[in-house]
Amino acid sequence: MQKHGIKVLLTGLIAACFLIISAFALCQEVNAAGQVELKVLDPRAELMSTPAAPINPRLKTLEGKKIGILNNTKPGADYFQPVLMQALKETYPTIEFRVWNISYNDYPNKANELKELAAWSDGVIGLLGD
Amino acid sequence: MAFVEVPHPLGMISLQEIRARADEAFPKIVQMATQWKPALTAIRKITPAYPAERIRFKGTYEALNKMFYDKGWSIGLPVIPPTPEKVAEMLKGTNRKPNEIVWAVPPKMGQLTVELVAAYGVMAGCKPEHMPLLLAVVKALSSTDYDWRGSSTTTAPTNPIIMINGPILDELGIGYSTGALGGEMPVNISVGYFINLVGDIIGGSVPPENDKSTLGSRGDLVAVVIGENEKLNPWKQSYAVEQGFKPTDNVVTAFSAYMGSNNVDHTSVKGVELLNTLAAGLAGAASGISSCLTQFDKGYAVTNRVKFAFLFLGPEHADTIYKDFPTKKSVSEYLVKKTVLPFWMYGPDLCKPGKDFGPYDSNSLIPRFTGPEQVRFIVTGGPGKQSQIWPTFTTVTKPVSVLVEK
Repeated sequence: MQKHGIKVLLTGLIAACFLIISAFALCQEVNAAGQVELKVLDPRAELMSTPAAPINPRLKTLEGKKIGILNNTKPGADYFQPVLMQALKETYPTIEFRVWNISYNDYPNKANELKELAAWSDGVIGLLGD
Repeated sequence: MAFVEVPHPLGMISLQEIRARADEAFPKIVQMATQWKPALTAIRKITPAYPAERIRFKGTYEALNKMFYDKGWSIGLPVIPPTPEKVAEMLKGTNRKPNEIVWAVPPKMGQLTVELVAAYGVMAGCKPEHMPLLLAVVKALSSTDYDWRGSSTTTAPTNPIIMINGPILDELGIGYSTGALGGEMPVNISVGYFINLVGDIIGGSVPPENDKSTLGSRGDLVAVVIGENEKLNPWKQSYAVEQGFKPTDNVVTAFSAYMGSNNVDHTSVKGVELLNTLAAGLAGAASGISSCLTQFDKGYAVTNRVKFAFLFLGPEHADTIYKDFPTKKSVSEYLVKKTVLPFWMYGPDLCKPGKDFGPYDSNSLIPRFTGPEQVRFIVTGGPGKQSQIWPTFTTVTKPVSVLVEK
């Protein structure tokens, strides 16, 4: 009786091992229906977050203000610039301008000029021609 | 941020039309500048870039590729699934830590970790031994001199160009001889595919939201990766050595280029004759946007566009040129002198010769370049009478050369 019980137990263990191995194989290999089960990496990246910075207070008026013009040097900006400056000057006769011609692509190389622009200006108008 | 929208385009329209748009925009600009008040916006929670999430998938490989494409995790070609096991195997190709961030990829500034370099390497078909090369490629592309942001968001059909020098060419089986830019070059193709997977998925330069390329190019799918045929370089000086590296160094050089064109010259016998036909191709390369008398070290401006170009000289063309031009510098100097266009062929406002140029009229021949560093070349490919011309993307881009560090 005891012998028979051990036999049944061994048979059960072998059958269980077979089932586990089969299930594992099914997870890893392509089965008859061409199905696979696998883990993959989600290839998306986390986006870099820049530190939060307060937004500059708005100017109440442009009268008497120093306005930096940041021209991105692309076609059209050169045409738009004098028209815009003239129109602003007519509306705000005491407005003052200085122009920086810097491509946005060149910002990493022009940090000093951008700091100078920020230091001089009460407000900045970016001209994005193209 | 406040915006005043002015209808596109501002280029290629008359001054009258520009004035009309300015008149219409002006009151809105004043209003925005003086009255606009920002709303409070939530700051996005910063989450760690490593490790990448693992997801479980069940289905066919076809369905897996469809899922990757539908989720925006691939760019149209099939990918090899980046299983944790395959990625771990790829990571054995480098000593760098998998959590190291090697590039915040513009325009979306996705944080590319070494683990993700390995994952994209797997997806593109690269092998673990390619990891040092992939990391060198990433280092070169991430340089501000390369200008990935501008290149990947422009309306122009830009192509990332990767040139490789050194013993690594033969060690990894990188194509540099017959058909090097074509098929049957698994390393070149896999590395090129890797670049665009990273650019599109990590960087987010996907048309039409960030990649604004009007027509696009095949370089948006598989970037141009090519080795220099150092063995058939008659000048016995590779591009990397010219840049100050040792012949035993493995070097990656990257730059961004407009579409390349081909020079097919079966008839020139003398080097001068061949350089003349190459100069004709150079003169017309990147037409419409090229400026005259550009300077390599001068910044981006309307009058300083497309400030260098690369030639991929076929070995037989190189031999023909070498007969008359025993130094590489003499080749570049001759091409700079001969790459000219009549003034009337330059785009409006793009060519404004200074007083030192002297008098000129609409038929005067005016050079595109001013210095030999603006016309560079490698020797590559196999037998035949072909060479290629690759004009640089117009912005601040410069060639960036970096060591492949094992």
